[in-house]
Amino acid sequence: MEFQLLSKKKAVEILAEIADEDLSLVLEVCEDICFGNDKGEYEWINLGKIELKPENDKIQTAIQYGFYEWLIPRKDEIDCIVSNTFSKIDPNIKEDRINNAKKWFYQGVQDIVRRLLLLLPTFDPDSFVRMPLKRPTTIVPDTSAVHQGGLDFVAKFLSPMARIKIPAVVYMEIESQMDNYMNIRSNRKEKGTRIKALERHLLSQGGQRALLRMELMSDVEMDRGDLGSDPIRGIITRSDSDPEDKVLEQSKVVKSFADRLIIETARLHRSQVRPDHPLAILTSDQGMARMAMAEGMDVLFFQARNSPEPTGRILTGTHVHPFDADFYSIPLTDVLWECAVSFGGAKLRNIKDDSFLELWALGGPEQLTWYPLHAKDDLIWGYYVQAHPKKEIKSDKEFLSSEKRFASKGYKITSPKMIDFISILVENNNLAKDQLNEILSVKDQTTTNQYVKFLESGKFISESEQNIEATDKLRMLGKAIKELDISKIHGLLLDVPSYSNFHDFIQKGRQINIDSPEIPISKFFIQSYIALGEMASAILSISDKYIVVTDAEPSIAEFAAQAYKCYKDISQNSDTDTELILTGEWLECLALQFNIHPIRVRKLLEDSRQKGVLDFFVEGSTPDTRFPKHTMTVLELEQGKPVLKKIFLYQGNFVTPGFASNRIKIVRK
Amino acid sequence: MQYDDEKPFQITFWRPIKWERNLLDLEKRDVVELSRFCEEAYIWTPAANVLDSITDYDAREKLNEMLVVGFSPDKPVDERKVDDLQNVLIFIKELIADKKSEWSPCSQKYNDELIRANLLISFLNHVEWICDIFANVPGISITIR
Repeated sequence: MEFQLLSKKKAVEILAEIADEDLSLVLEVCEDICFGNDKGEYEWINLGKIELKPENDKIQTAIQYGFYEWLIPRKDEIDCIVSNTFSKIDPNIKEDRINNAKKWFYQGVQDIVRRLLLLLPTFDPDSFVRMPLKRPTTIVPDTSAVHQGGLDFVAKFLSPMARIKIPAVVYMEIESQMDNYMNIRSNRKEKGTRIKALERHLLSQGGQRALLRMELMSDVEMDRGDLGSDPIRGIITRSDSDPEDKVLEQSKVVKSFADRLIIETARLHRSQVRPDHPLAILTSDQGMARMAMAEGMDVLFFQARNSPEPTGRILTGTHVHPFDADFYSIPLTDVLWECAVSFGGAKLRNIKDDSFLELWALGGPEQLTWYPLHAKDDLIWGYYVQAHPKKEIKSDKEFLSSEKRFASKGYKITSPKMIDFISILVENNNLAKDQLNEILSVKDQTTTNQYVKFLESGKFISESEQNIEATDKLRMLGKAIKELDISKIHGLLLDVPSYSNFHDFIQKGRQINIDSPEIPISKFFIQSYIALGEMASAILSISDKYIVVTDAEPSIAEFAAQAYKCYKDISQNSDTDTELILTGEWLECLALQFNIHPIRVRKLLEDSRQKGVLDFFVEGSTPDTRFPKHTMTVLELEQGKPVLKKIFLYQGNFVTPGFASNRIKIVRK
Repeated sequence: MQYDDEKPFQITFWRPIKWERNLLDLEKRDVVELSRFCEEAYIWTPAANVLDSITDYDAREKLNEMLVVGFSPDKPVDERKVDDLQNVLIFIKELIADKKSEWSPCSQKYNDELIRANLLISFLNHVEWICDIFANVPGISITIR
């Protein structure tokens, strides 16, 4: 096992390789003293499933920009995992100590989730209505705000109006927690250290990381007073020999005294700024909030350990901004880093092939060094096992050309616009990107990108910084469209992974309910994909209820038998006296029972009559408008220009162009 | 149905106005009854239309009705409380559990990459957070437009 210092960038590459086999990964954490045994072995605690949601197969992008869902187990499930772990590593441990471990573990998870801003702290309504801040305001956090995500919330959403003044006693309290933890670590073989180690590790490491994040990784404005202006820096003059000091126990920074020093820092800071400069204490501690209010201080109070519960829910890496119509994202590496630092170790594992990335910030299987550089560059010790060690790590671009396993759930396109777009692109050979919105008559770039990506995914275009250029393949497609060469169009469209996936799915199922959640195309775009499939005579949608594959190409003799069978089936079940049946119903029957597309039916019907194997009679006058949902899309030429048209199967103008054919009678010869 | 042009909802939480002095209505020539007025406590317009991420047509229509009709300013205040919105969240949780929502690209970009999101889950987590903040606060009402 060889550990190496990993940057987040490197971790993204490793994780993309690990997720190559399966987009669903398991997140595990470990505190090596709490969950370790005497032999130096330790157990990992399952903290839920991470499901990546990349577009196409851009896994690295998904990791980097937060396209994932984290399914955190319910609290009772986590409790059960913790209990079971203790029964393995220390069966004699008492129940009340296990309950303490559960409590610290759960609090640790809550704090991690809120520091990452995957869930936000619940603010006091009166504090909340003042957000976002309208004027520059100094925020003085206490230690609870650092641990429980209040400080991260202010830095992310209230800066730059918020200026942060962290009292020295906060650094000191967290440093004291760190000191306690290191003492436990030195005496880890003593009894009773297991649960304390978990508590101290979570508080000290999580707290220190939050403070370092403010200093090294954020753009927030930190207020720092002159040396000595902070009351904590001059208060403790230790003299154990003085009996009075001994009684006062000034050498111990007791909790309420530390709280008092937070208020004193705020008061002192207020005295140094102009009188009307707003200042508020950020805390989740009720006692602290009451004390501050009683002394005329403003308070930003929040709760982060009661509601909403992070467990048993799905958290996503992209989240809506609370005060803007915007998104913010939390990279998956941030989750992994925060878990590793807070607990000591974190691991993301692919259960299919057992590949994993294991990170250790403190503790673990080897003595790991620490230097300030690690904090500055956010480096962490890691070890990984890949399923295919010799396989080179692929960039997203290479992934794109790999398999169609991760083909997109479709692109938001409309089929008539796509046909026009292809024609224009073939005609011009290349187009400037800034022209595309106008060409497609759309307002926003997002929609335009969908058309570009559809064509790019099938290698119909190549993209440069300024332009898109038609490839030879697109010219072939353009020619096939212009010549109405349906089978060639279909063959070329199959190179688009999303279309190919859609078609493969229908072909495999033969007849699919249009509401089926299994269809690999989003419900929003499905009509466009159906239209493309119908245009290529590959599928037919029946009354917006089913999609049926129409790949059959029967001989004339076979068709004659099938056409007659459908006619007989329908006429026998008909309530009317006439021998003529609805033509639309007959066409749909041939698609449903024998997978023949109406376009082929039209040709086969005429060929069969000419060969003398069957005859047919039609009648009709005005178009039958009773069945508006029974339509199909066909490709036609209008003044030499390819256009998509909607055909109403029951209107009686399809089977025999020029004659109304609302009803039909088939006669076998 | 195309949803391109549909605007996202705008959710507003209202609280009773806190005004210590009387106000004179110059038109009615009388002192204003301040208890009839609410002030905006929180306003939020989502980055994209949450309905876009729902894959089931009927569910999308139903949620649209629950939000826009259920929290229309025309409705009595008593029917537009935080509890009422929390009932809608239960329905949204069912949709998510039934996998009737999906991830899709949004219009926002980071370094030329279109951000992808499951709008329904983001909406749920966010609105649940706001509801937690305003739960039990007297006089809070909600409108969605």
